[in-house]
Amino acid sequence: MTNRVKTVPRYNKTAKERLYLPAIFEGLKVTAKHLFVNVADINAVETLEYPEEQPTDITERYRGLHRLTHREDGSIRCVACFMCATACPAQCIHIVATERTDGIEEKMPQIFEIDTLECVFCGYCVEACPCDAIRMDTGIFSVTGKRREDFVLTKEQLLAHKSAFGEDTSRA
Amino acid sequence: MSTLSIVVTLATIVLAALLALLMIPVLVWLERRVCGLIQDRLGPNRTNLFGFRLGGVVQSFADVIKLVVKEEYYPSHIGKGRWLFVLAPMITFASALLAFMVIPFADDLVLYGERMKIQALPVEYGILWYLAIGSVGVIGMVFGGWMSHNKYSLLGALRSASQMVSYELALGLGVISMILTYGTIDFNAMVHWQSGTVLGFLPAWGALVQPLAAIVVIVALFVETNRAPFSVAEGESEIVAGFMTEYTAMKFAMYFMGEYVAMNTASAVIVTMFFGGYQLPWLSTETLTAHFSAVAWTIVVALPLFVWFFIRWMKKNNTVRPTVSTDWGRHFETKVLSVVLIAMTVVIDLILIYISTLPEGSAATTVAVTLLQIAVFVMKLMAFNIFFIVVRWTLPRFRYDQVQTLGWRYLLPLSLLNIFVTAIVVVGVLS
Amino acid sequence: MSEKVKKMVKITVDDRTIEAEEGAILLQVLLENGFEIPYYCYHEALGPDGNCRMCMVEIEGKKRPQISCDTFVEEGLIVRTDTENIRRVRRGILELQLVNHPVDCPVCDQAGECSLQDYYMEYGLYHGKVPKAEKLHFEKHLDLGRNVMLDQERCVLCKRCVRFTGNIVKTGELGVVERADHSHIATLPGRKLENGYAMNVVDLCPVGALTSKDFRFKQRVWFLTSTPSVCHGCATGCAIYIDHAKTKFEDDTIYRFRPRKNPDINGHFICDEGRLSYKALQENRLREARAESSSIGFEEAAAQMKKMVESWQGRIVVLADANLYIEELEMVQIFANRIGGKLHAPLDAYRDPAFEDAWLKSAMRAANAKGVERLGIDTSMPSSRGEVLLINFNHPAAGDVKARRQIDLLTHRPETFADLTLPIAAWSETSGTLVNEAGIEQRCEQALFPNDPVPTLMTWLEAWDLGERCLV
Repeated sequence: MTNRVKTVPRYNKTAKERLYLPAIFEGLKVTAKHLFVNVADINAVETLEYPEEQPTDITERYRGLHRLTHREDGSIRCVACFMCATACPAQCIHIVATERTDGIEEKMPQIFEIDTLECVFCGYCVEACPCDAIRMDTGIFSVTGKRREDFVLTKEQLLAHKSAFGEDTSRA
Repeated sequence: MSTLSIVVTLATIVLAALLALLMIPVLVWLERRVCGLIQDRLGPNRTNLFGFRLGGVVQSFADVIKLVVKEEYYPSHIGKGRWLFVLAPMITFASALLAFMVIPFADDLVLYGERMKIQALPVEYGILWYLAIGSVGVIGMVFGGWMSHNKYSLLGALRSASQMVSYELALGLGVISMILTYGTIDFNAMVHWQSGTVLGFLPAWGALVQPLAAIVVIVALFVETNRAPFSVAEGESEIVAGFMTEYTAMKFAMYFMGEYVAMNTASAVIVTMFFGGYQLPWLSTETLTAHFSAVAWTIVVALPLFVWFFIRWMKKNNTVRPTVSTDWGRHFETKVLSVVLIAMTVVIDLILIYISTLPEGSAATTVAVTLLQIAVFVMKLMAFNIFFIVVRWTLPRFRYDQVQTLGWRYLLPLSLLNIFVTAIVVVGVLS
Repeated sequence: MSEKVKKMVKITVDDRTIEAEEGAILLQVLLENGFEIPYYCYHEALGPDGNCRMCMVEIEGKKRPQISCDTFVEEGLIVRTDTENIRRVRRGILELQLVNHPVDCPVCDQAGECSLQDYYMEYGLYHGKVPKAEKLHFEKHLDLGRNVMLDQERCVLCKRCVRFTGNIVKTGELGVVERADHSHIATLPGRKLENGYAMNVVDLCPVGALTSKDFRFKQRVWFLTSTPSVCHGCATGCAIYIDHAKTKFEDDTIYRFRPRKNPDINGHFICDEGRLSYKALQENRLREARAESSSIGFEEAAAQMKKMVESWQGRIVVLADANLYIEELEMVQIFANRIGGKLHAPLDAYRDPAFEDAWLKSAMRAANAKGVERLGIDTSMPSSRGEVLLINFNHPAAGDVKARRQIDLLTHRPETFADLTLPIAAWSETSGTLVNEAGIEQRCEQALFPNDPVPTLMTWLEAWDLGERCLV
């Protein structure tokens, strides 16, 4: 034999291993311990009992539902540049642009709809936006509705969502 | 046939049917809850009837309703063979149910001079019946897999069939050594044999007298019921649901229930043959009847204690984490259940006290002993069912060739060896 | 003028040897040979201006980099287009261009086809040194008339628009006003753009200073697909690109026409009417078949057409639109022969002398009038004898023909419905060949693939099994 031989460890060779029963017994010990500890005190089980308990790990970075941000005077910040619609991998953002007449900007969205049934909540739209107009820091993770149409968020709904972490000054 | 024997027989049949059938939702619930708790999570515990969750048992009933109202669907390629497609799960279910009917739940009831067996099918050849009818379940699986017109179902069915056939041998040979030990094929007589002691102080249970046969038979019964670690038929991650893939709604429900009934039957057989059946250790029926008042008073004291501990446990555990919120629904449920349990305890205690005041050998004492034995049997049955479940969630599945190796190359020679040794001991030494 | 003899000489560019005409503009030669040189003020149709200084290249023998738009090809020229020095020069010029630029990219329509964006990503990528508050401000959205919007802040002062209005259309509406840092493009006070080719400045402008009011904010350029085609406005047949997009939320729509370079016909420009003729393709379209006024399905309509044609055998007059493709006209011709009908394609209905001008606009408003003549189709109006079945293939003057029964195959909704009206696909929804008035054949590709397509003319004639014509 040359010295390139590699000895592979083989298991199940000793008599005790081949018997199976000692190993099974060890396994049963572990399982039974878990079972008895959890039955004795159900609070030992670390399950989140939703909806009585709400998740505690929603941070500012958590990507919940979207919201459109406002300028200082309360008007919409979005300029309908289509960066978010282009970046979106699910193509769930529908934007129709229109002229803005109040002198603050030239362009604004007439229609801005996000189909949350198509959305994958990746956050690319937030990254792509050059104006800090869209954010996903509402902390809302649970959306319910009875029809498909209820899940399409309109511009007014998106403007009405509030940040869950205090209104930060924009970084735009 | 006197009215008494008819009444008792009917009652036994009803009891057996209830035990087998009502065990199904309980077993489903146990399986899911226990597996959850083993895995450090809660199992299903939200479905409720008017606020009563009962720990999640209601979930099983919800499952039953779901399975009943699901869409019935047949693969289109079966054509004329649809009757066989539908019959297959019925065969499995029926055979599992029938096999359960020969297990004795209590010793013979001797009332007014009549000796009545507390067995749904009061036959003397219980073990032969079980072996024969229990094996019929394979036919249902093979039919199911074959008629599905689906390669993977066929594979699953054939794997399961060959696995079960292989272990029939080991099972049969193990049982033979037990028959040699006990000297009888009647389950009831086997239980009687186990009422003695071995080595002076240990109860003469089959598991202690014949440990090797116990291991062989228990393993073989795991295989017979297609339970993990031998669940090659319904290898959940391998071939979808194996031979059950093409079955929907009620037909699937019957396979599903058939599996749990088979598991229940296997537990019952193990309990009867190896763990003393319906008997309390060291106490045979005669001892019980003779000293019934002592036994009754022990129960009168022990039962409230047990119920008190249970209620305390329920108060602590039947609630949402107290730091998070209060759960008025479950608190109400705990209160109601506590009241019900206390009421039951009071009633049972009063009955027992009354019976203990009666003279020895009266009918009420015998009936009470029978009921006690039935209760002991059910507890042992539940313990073994939980053992089945815990083993399922502990061990990974055996690979198919490992299953066959185990059956043919290890269990078969072992059981043969066991027969020889038993035969030598029984015939040569003891007689 | 005497023809100059074209002498081909060899030059070396970036260690590659290229053959070029002697005396040609070096920048043009470099662009044609695939070299990427940035430039603003040069345009093939307008000539060089030398004011942007972006097209600098290094030429062997000259001390400083030279602008390639003002360098002419000589034998043995050695050029380097991509050295460290040239890159530094380009970055510097770009930075100067962008000193007062408002960085409007989110709202600017030119995003995606903007030279400043492209050159910044390729040659710039620096941090600007002028803070936004210190930039100079000019007028932002000035409507110059004729669908042109001016944003004076975005302008790079390449003067292509000034040269176009001054030298090409010779109306001179645009000019540069004020000096130095305050220079911007404007019209004289009160004056608007008033020529028939004004929207071409939108294509010429390399940045978002001059944008189309018609296209303003409609769609982002990177969603658009450009399909080469030919304008159907008149017999000149200017080459165009059809810019269309099919998104998840809208069916395939055309957003604009852009001119396509064709040195034989329209050069680099198209007229405003042709540019805006895309609207006609999408408004008031007929999409369902009708028997008199009631809607019927396509199969039933085809069956009815067959029945009517069979019962009126021998007494049929066929009118064909002169805008149809050659392949479609040929098919109609064979169809007319098969059913024994007399085929006419009256051209008088298309003549509009008021439309004609000295450059690209022709008095004949049908795109395929020459094709009709080539196929020998009768171009006179059919005499209106009453007892005939008229089959009208989208001809606009079918109302002038009196017929007992009429089958219309139309692209647009008519005012009154004939006995049987069938919808056909417009010219952007099918492909074919046109012949312009100079006899040049041009191919139009199918641009639109709508979700519910209307059957083409060829599909309606399939029932007569007339054989395959060219691929459609």
